[in-house]
Amino acid sequence: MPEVTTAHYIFLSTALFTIGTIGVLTRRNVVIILMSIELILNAVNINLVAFSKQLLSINGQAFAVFIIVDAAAEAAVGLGIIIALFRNKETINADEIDLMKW
Amino acid sequence: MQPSDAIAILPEIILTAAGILVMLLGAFFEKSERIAAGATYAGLIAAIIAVAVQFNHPVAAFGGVFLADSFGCFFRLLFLLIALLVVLSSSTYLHREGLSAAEYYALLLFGTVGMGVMASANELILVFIGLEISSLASYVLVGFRRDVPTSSEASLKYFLLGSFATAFFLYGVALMFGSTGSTRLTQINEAFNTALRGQSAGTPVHPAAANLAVSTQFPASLVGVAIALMFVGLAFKVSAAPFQIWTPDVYQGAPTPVTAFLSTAPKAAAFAAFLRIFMVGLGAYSGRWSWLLWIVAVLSMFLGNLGALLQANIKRMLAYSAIAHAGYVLVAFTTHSADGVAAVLYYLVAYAFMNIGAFLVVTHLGGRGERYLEIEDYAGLGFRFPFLAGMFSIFLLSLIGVPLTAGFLGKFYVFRAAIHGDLVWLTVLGVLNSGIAAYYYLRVLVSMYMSAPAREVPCEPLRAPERLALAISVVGTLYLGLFPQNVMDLATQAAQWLQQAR
Repeated sequence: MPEVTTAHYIFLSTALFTIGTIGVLTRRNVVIILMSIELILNAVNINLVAFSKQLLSINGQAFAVFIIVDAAAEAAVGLGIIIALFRNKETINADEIDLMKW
Repeated sequence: MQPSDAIAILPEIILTAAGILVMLLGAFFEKSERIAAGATYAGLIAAIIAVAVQFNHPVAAFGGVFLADSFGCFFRLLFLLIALLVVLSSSTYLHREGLSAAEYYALLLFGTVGMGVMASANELILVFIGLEISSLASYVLVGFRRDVPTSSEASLKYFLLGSFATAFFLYGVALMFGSTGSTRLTQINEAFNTALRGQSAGTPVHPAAANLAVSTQFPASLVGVAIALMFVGLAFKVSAAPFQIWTPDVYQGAPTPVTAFLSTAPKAAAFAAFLRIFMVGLGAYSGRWSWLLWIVAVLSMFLGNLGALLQANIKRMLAYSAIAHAGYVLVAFTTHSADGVAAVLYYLVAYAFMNIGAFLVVTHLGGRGERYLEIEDYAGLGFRFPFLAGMFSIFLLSLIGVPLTAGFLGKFYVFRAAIHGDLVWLTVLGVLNSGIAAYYYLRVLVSMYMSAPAREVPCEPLRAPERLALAISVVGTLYLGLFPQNVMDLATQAAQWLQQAR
């Protein structure tokens, strides 16, 4: 079986990053946009852990733990904001959130 | 943790403790407004004293991860001062809008903690943590008027775009870690310097990872991508064009005192992190990023000023002008010299005073439910409320950059640094932009003094805390315009410290 090298991990993480970015830019449902952002954060985690293994440095893994914690905090705040908006506007479609323009 | 480490982060510890206390007071007391405000003032003043004591005793705490140096302390003092002014100008507003004061103050304190961490961090992980602490607090503050659709909408937009930008920044950090083997700014700089020295000596070493044999297999383009991604993330946070889309909406929808806070403190914090990362960490590669700054500075000035020309809402106009002011600061940053950094610091202080002052007047005149925010509501203000109108005029003139005000000297130092850095075109475009900017500020002034009121705008008398905040802002604006030397000395000292750290 061929060995999984750091390059493979970086390829995976780049793919995840791209999917996440496209998701943020094209999806209209705010919750799915939030999920796409989480995807990018996980791409970062894969990168950090792969580099950490490659460089024999624990820093990357420690960083990844911080990012996981932050992702949880961000999801909590984000969903709270989405609920507040839904109470006011009865929609979570990004196209209909348009009270302020230009 | 050694005792000296605890002293270095003492201001942050005090602020966190005060924030938790304020939150608990809000939960346990029925009428917590006054007592919460008291605890907030106490916490902020104690933190200011703790920073002031550190100013001339730089400490590298936690093994050099957290630097309580004069650069960091300069910014922390600025954040604390801004927080104090915003708290002073918020109490009447919160009471009028029926908002929970304790929660608001607690979030403000936590946000300030995050900014202090950002400004002192010598480690990308710590920059990220500080950035998130301050961002999460500001997302909630923007949506603080829960029943108002525009406020929630602004909050959501800020949150989505803000976390998107943070994710970009993080991806850049991860790639930087991969190519240099460290997230410590000084170590990243060492890795680059060693690599560049190796190159000039003729040995074909990999630029990014010369002193780390393990990572030499990564292409140099990795460093380029890392710099670009970190740049995007930070440019978003300072609301520089073309990453400024969120700014007008968020500044318009947020409660006005929060807008005053957002346009000064988190922006200054983002500039602090920006300066430290790019000057210290990536200083060796300045050729790769200074042209990016050039473009972003020009775009921000033009988009900000031209956008502001078209606005009818005063908060939105000031939001666009905030983009333009970020552009002026970036002009000084583009020089990446000690002169330029000092000009950045001076400008941020000057901008804080004049902008908070301007937003204070806007807060007060907005009335209950922020109803009077159109520029035409300011018509005839000069005759009906001469005192308020006079104050507002001083802040607007300072934002234009009229001599004898803080704004003038701020711009003067920025453009002087740009000329010394041989950025003649950038200076020309900057001065041209100051001219464009004069138009929309003057339009408000003209409407205040030369036209009849369009509709009846009620105005309550100013309360004591608002008066104090207004007085501090005016004195600060004029003081920085007349006697720049003291603050400029501190800014120069901080800038030199940053330069030495490379």
